[in-house]
Amino acid sequence: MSAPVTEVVRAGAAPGEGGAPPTRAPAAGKGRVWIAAGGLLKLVGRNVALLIFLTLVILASLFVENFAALDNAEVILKQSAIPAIAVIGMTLVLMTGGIDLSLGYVVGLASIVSGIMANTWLWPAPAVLAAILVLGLAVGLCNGLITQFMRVPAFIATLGAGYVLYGLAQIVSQGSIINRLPKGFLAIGRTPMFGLPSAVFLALAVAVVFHVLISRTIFGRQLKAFGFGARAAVLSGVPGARINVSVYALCSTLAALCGLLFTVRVNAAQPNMGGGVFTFEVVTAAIVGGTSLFGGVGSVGNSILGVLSIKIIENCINLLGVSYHLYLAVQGAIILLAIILGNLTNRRA
Amino acid sequence: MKRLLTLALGLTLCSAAAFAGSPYTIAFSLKTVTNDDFQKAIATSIQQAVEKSGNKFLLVTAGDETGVSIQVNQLEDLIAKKVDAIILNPMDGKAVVPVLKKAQAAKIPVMIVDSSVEKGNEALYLSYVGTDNFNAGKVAGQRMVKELGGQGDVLIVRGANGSSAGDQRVDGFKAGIAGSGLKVVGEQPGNWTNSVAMQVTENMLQANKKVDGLFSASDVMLDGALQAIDDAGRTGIKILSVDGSKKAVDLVEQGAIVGTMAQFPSKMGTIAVDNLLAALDGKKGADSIPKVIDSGTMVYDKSNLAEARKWAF
Amino acid sequence: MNIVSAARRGLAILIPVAAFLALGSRVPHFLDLSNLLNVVRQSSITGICAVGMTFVIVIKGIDLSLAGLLAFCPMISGVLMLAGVDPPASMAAGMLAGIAMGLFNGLMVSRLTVPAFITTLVVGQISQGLALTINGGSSIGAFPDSFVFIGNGAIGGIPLSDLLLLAFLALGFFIERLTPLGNHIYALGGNETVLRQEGLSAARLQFFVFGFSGFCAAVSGLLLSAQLDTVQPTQGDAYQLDAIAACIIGGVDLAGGRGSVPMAVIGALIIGCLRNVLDLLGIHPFMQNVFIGSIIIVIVYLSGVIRRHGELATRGTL
Repeated sequence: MSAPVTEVVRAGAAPGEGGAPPTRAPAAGKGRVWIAAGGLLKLVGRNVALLIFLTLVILASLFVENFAALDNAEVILKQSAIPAIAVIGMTLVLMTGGIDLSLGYVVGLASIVSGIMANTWLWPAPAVLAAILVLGLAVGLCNGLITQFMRVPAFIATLGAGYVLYGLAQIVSQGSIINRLPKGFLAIGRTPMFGLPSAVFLALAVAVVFHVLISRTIFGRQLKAFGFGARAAVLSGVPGARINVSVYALCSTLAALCGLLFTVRVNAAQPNMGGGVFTFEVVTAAIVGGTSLFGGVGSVGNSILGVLSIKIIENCINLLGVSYHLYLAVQGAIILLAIILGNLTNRRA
Repeated sequence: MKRLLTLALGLTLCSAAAFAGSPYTIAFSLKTVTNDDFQKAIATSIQQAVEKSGNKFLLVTAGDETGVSIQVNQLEDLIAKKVDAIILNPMDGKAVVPVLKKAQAAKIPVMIVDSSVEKGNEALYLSYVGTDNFNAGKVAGQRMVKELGGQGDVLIVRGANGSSAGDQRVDGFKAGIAGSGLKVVGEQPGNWTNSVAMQVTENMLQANKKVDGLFSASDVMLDGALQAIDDAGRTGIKILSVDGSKKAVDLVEQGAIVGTMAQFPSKMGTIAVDNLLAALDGKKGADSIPKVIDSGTMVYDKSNLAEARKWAF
Repeated sequence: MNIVSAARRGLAILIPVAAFLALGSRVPHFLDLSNLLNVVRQSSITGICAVGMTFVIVIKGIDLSLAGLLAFCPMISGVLMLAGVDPPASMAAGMLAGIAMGLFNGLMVSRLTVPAFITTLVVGQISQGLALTINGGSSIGAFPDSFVFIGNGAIGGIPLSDLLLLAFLALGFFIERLTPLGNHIYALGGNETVLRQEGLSAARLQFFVFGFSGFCAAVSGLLLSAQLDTVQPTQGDAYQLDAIAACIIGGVDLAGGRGSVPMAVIGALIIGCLRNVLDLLGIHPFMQNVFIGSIIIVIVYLSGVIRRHGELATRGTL
């Protein structure tokens, strides 16, 4: 049980490289590809998430028309940025062996509240951003405290919290959406930088911070230890309660940021943004990224690769014009195949 | 919020004034009023009409687009609660038939609004007030043919999978463009929500470098679709939608969309309540109320903005 | 000791139930016999799913394919029935489809080490996609009377749905307590060394558990369609999380090894009562969400407190 785990953790140490190059990969020169391939092969052998991601990129470039183009890579990056932020929080929670089913509803509440603050109350953008992060933090603390101190299983605590948050979002919005938001507010996520909206770079920054947090700090080490075995970790001096509460707090804070960024991206604030569908998409991405549902295993970079893989699949399904009824079915089948493939190669290696 | 409170207070006072004899409890069951201005407008008009007449209003929503069985459970609960009458916007025209039979057995009259009940079950309800979703889509299709001069590639942003109203609108749209030179080059579900609508539109635009028109199954997905078109730097795409909301009328005025197929939710609500009350009070026999009351459809475009403003919700 | 701890565990859920009934007496029409039978009838769908789900969770799995299977299986039966195949044969076909999908889940989990979360989620999506595709996305209905009777008929005043729920409760209880299979399932979830000592195959148990869950999903989907006289291709969505929540409310431990079928069914009944009461009280839908969420948390919290208290007491006395 413990041997493959250390492997995954080690492989996760180099995910920074995995996040950025996909856009360049198809365009790179032939000679360089071979040299890079040699180095990558070693890494790929150990890292299922990277293997899945690269396989998808290669297959899609070969067989899907319009896929291997700069503007398409741009579309995929734009679509991945927000879920990438969410998946980081979810990964932290999953690493403790918990789950956060309220994530998508935090997104909805944050969306409508940020819309009201920006459009109705005319708050300046930084104030809205700060208020939304505090909102997320508050929700997350509730989730964490309920799971930790009332000993309600995370599944129920966050499922219940999800219902409550959705109800609150509906009450706050009275069911309506708010569109055409002020320019200053939109600038948070839409300011162009190097040809991409700032949301992408925001996601990158969050990823770097949390990658360091997990792989280079005491908190990260304690988190992994706690995830492997809560009791043993606590006995050896890990502050279990603090870790457990803080992962939910961080997860909801990041989810709230997602809600704000979704609102900016779509230019409309609505209470049913995100929702249960989004939560499951994020959990799926984390698992495609090799995160274990039973705790202890997970890495920021790999989870983000999971998000990119899912967005690539969705993108290809649309490019190929697959029947809308089979959209989810085809997406699911590809994810399943990818995971089986990953498991098989990993077992042989 | 303040306005809502005043309104609520006002309505309470009105109903208190009109309080004579024992009031009826009238429930309205529908899928959701969240992020759906059209359904909200029906609910609001029903609430106002019921409360103005001094009766009690009860709102029941299934919450989810896919909660067909939740709606049926809630209707059963309303029968157990012994409400006096039910106004129903069925999420699935077939699935409500057994519960309509139960309502009939419990002698609770039912009015149907917006979406219809499967044919052959007319005896189970007083009357159906609504517009033909298929026809609204068809008119949009014909309009699209005219706008594009009979030639071009169009995209469709559908509702959620499994939604009959959404399917009927899209089927109607396809019937409307049938036989012309228009071709549907992409259609994906936007799940009645902007973030999903935006993502599928982005991807469909990516797949099709030449797009001339886009049909959205509802105004509630326009913001997302428009943002995707904007971000992709495409111009000149003719957009048509269904609903007739205030937001869509604004977009027509700005020239962002060509038009929206308006339905009249407030008319639907008022007509339904008036007829229902007449039947409850015994002023109208069940047979004197027509089985189908068409609340009308109209195209809002640049030519009739003033008229549109009057009715848009 | 087994009896004592079982009694304690029973108490853990009975106290909230008693509280619920006491509060229920203050809700007009809630305790009407017709309403109670109706609540059980509405809960039967979640309840039957929860029977299969209990075993899945006991072996540390989770079954997210319910949402799809609840629509896919009856869609197959429905299409066959409307094509003139007689109802029992059509229903058997739907059940076989459910079992097959469940076994596929078992295959993925046991032989290919795919996490249950992913394989069942995907199988659910595929089933959902097929349910939509089979009839072009629209619902089908107007089935033979004998089929509709299963969902809406009653024997001696008791709805058939209620009896079916009872039958599945008995079946689950039988497997759990009275067969070696039950012991093995709990061993797989709690203490795998026992399993290895006895030389039993974990894979075969996983096949059975997921297959059985698929069977339960198929039956409950067919029952739902019989109640609605319709197969609506997304009709299963609402039951997915409710079935899991029912298990947890009933004390089934997501970490595996612990939980029982009757408690999970009671969990389903609690959720059913909760929704029914909120409707009877005429709570505004927005507030309903707030209430459902907080009440579920409080119930699980209280039952946890009582259970832990009971366990401490048991340990102390013995």
